[in-house]
Amino acid sequence: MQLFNRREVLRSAACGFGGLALAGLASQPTWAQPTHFPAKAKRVIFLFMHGGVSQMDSFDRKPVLNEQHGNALPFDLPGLIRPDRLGKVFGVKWDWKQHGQCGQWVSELFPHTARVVDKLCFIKSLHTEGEAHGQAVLRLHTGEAAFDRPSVGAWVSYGLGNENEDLPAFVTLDPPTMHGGVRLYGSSFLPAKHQAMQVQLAKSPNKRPQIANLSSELLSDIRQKEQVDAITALSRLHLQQVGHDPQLEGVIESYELAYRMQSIAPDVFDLEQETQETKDLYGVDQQPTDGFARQCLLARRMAEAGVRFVQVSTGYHWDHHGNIERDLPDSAAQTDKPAAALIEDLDRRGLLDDTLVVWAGEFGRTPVAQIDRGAPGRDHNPHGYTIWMAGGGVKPGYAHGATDEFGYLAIEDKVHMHDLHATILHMLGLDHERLTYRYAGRDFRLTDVYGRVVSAIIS
Amino acid sequence: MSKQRRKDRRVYCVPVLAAYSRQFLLALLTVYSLSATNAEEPAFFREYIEPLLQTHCYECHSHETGEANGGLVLDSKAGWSVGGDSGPAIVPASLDKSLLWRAVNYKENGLEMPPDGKLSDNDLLLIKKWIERGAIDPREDGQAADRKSIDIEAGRQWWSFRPLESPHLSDSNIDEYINSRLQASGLQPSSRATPAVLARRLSYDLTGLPPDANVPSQYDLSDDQQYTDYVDMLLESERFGEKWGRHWLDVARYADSNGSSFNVPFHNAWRYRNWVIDAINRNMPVDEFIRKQIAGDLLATDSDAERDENFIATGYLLLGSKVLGTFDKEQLTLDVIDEQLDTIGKSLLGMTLGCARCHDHKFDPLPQADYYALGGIMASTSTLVDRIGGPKDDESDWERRGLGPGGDEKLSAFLQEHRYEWVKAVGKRFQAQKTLDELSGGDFQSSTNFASSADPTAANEEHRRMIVAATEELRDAERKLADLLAEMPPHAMAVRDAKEIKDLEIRIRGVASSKGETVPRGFLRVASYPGLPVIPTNQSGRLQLAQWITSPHNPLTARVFVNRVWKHLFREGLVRSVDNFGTTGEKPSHPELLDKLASRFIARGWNLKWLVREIVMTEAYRRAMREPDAKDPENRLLAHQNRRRLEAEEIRDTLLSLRGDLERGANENILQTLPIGDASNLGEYLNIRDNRRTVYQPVIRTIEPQVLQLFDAASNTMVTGARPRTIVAPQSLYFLNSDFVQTSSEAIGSRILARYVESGNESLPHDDYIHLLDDLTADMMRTIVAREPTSHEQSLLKQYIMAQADGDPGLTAHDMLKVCQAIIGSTQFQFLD
Repeated sequence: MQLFNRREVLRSAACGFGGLALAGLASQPTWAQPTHFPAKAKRVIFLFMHGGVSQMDSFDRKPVLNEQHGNALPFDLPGLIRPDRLGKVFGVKWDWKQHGQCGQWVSELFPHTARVVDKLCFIKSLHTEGEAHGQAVLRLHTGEAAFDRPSVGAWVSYGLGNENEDLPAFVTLDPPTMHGGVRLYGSSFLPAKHQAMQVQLAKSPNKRPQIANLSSELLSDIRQKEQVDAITALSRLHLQQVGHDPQLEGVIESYELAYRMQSIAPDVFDLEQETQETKDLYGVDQQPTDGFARQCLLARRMAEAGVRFVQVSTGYHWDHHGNIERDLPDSAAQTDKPAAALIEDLDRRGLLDDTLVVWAGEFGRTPVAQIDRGAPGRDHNPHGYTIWMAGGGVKPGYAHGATDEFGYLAIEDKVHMHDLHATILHMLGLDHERLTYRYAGRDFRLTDVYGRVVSAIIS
Repeated sequence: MSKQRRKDRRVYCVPVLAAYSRQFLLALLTVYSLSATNAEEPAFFREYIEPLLQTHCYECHSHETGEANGGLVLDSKAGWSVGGDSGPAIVPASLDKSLLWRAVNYKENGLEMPPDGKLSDNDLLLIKKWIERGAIDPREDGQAADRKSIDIEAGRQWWSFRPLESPHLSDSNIDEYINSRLQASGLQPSSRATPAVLARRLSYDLTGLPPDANVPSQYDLSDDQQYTDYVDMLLESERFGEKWGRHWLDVARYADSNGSSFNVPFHNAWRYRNWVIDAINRNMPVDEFIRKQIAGDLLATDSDAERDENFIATGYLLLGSKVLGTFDKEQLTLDVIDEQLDTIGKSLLGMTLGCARCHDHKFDPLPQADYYALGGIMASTSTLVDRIGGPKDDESDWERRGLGPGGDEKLSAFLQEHRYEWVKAVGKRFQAQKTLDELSGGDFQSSTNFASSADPTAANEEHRRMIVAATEELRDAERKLADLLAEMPPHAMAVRDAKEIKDLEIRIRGVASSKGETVPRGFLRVASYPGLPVIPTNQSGRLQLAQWITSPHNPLTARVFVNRVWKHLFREGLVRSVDNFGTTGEKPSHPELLDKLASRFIARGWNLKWLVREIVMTEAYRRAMREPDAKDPENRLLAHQNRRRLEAEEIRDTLLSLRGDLERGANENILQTLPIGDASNLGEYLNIRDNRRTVYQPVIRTIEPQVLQLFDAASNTMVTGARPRTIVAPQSLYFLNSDFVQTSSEAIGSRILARYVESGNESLPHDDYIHLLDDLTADMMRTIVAREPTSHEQSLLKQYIMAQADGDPGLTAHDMLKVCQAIIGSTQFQFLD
């Protein structure tokens, strides 16, 4: 009924370029879709630690590494990227303490995360395929490396629709250009509206979020409104000649949405509306946190505005092949405080209950040293690593699964990447086996033919 | 359907589970006290194992539920001893060899059973004991899963597998087929479109560009002869190949870089692209066009030039996006074969072959064995070789073949000796260039912080010295590279037969390491015909594959190709699922028409230009737009022509052309200087500024120019016979705010304005432009949408011009920008009526 009326409006004659062009510019009803079952979370903020965080230096404490430092591993290495460049067991230099009610061990590099551990749910047995970044990053973001498939956020957008008609359902902040590039937030064969809107923040010269073509330097607001009016009026004359045509109507509507986006987005993007206290909490305008703090704060504002899936990428700085002792503390310091602040901030605003936060790299790292890059570091390890989740339906203050005593292979309650994806969808009320899209004669799923929901971590 | 059943079953299962739970409790209490002899008796099975299987496994593995996932049932002894796709599920007394044991312990990736959650420790203990003691199972009379084998003969009855009949002189023409269906449905066809609409439609459809301004005066398109002349002129234009070459590049998933996880530039892909465009302009018979792409390197030739062209054509097999760094090279090989078969299947045969990689095709008569029969041909073809940057690299390199006299031998010798040296030299030269660019560019101050230097002269002196050094370094790097290149013949991405010719083993569940029986190389049985080409034991079989695909007896190829051409001219194919002619695709709206057209196309020597001409000459093609009739809301019967949006390339090319900036001719090796490594972070160096047609712009995967990304250009990693059609807000933002649309509108507006102002003046004073408003608005519409405005449009545009040009300077270029931009942004420009 709604649509029909709308079409009628569009069809009605509108001579002159004012007229009805901007009718209905007020906020639109959402097209949120019913879920398969009641959802625990309405949206996801995905914090991507690009490069791969060392689990044994962060949240997966393995005292045996220090005891056995310099010894050979007592078992064979699984298919590794380059066995020839790996050395002996490599100890951990950081102090560890147990934190919170849950008693989760956290290394001294993550003091802020330590503060919020009672709200976090750790998965310490994630495993994936791909010894190289490209494969692993693609698997984390799309479930598949060899073929072009929709990204997790695109599936979520497809499954849930918009919470806010004036903004896209899927937004990516500073996405990586490498290791898959656009595929990491693309819609592949899903309709294009499910692909993420890209926002550039890290490289933005004025530290303000930037979206392609969102504003015009040539035309003032008023002039632009006239411009939109003229375009839609000319288009409506075209439509009038032929009567009903969904394509032409679609374009006219898309101008109206574009105009609404132009009006609402600057507001959502304006970090200056935040209080000093909030900015300080995240570490905005402080070093080394400023960059990631702005990303996390913007992610929260987007979640608040109803964006379904916000992807935040740290930049490719976690790949500590060499000199991990110097570089890992840097990476941790850039991200620890903003990530913890995001949890606290969402919590105090009552958003954490229905927002699922996922903190993850594409893989973990080896318990043995990599020795071909000067000072030692750790090599890639897709066979077992640690991530955390928070909010939206996961058990707080909980840890699931375990790696072996060296922290190398996931051995207990293993969670495969497909399982993680199945679980994220589950939290959103989507059954990963029923969320399908027919393309080229086949029903595709995010989890292909795999995936099990990790029910143990659901609150 | 089966999913639904499964869910229902799950609900139904609950009482069953409850009924057994008491028994379970008993079992738990007694299991530890069971003596060894108990487990060897059938009673043990009946009491403990059978209930467990019923509760946890039958849902997906029993005759009762009709589910045999993975081909496995567990409701009889034969069920597990014969096993499913992966062979026997249990080997009595051998836990290690029992797949079921690994599956229930979640030790088999992707085969964790039951999928809803691991069995309890006690259940596992029971199973362990049972298997260890010989897996005694009294259910001797049951059967293994009925392995459905595909009935090829029955499959042949599907329309697309039926043989084509030879054409007769008495065959109807296209319009007769269409009109008789319209008549039968009581639909009145729409009238002919106006000459202006036809000129624009034909020009874009055949060349991808707007009609020249002088077309209305040169051709009266309401006259049949002049219409024919106009069509022939467009068909002979080199722009025809640029437009229709792009159509082919869409299905060939053409790109100039690998994309995926390692986005290395394909320095030589342009040779393939230009060959495609040239072949179409030459009107190469389509069967020959296809044969060269599958097996050009194996065809007999008369000249070096022809042999080179044939090498280049096989680039089709190499252009896929690959995970070059896959550690397991056997896995990589199988993935590459899969990509090749997927491309061949969809682009040439309209078959989704990829579905048969892991199991028999679920819907089409394509057994898994047929997939591996074709796979053997590709496995006997060398696609990837060696490593790309050094012997220890993770990333594989691809086959290259030298061009020119003796080129192939020279290239092989060169690569043997200097492959890595050459890769390094290309990288070094690029680095040196980059260093110099950074020094000469504006950002040297921030990077070296000379701005804070106390002595500016010293800083300048230092800077000058650095530039000299960098220039020297670049020269040096260039010299070294030139020395190497002097020995390296020009080359193409091209395949050759592998040293080892081999048949492939079926891979169970598609897993590289799970080998089944070996399948001799061959073709799809459902599309076979008497007198199939025979594959010699010492050849890959690609030549025979090419012969099979392009045989007039192959039921698929000509139908698929003709349907693609139809789709580009009527916006939808007669079969709308243009890449899928299988049972999950759509059936043709006019089956007889498609068949007749396909057989006439073959009889005409697979002549593309003939086919295009045949279609655009019809009344059906020339019809005007109209609102669809309720009797045929999707216009399947073609009572009127369908509207289409301009394609991404057409938008860019048109604006460049209206600005007067579009350059003719082809690009060649403009990526040549990029380093042979991941290009994803080259930033500005990938920002190619070039005003030739978009088809000639290098396609760097994952870094697609905005206009292509926004306006649904082909995916460039997947066969795209039908581009998606999206209408989203960012497209409108592009028309409102993008630099390209704004600068183009400005240039177009200025060009129009210049026709009315005296030289030397930059604007039209108020009194002047008021008199000229009719001329100006008509000119703008003629220029941008190639027709005269209606009176409503004219009054709207006049009003808009006056609203912009209020005040003193009169009508300026900036005002013209806004009006032109409004027309360009409207559906009038964006769509083709």
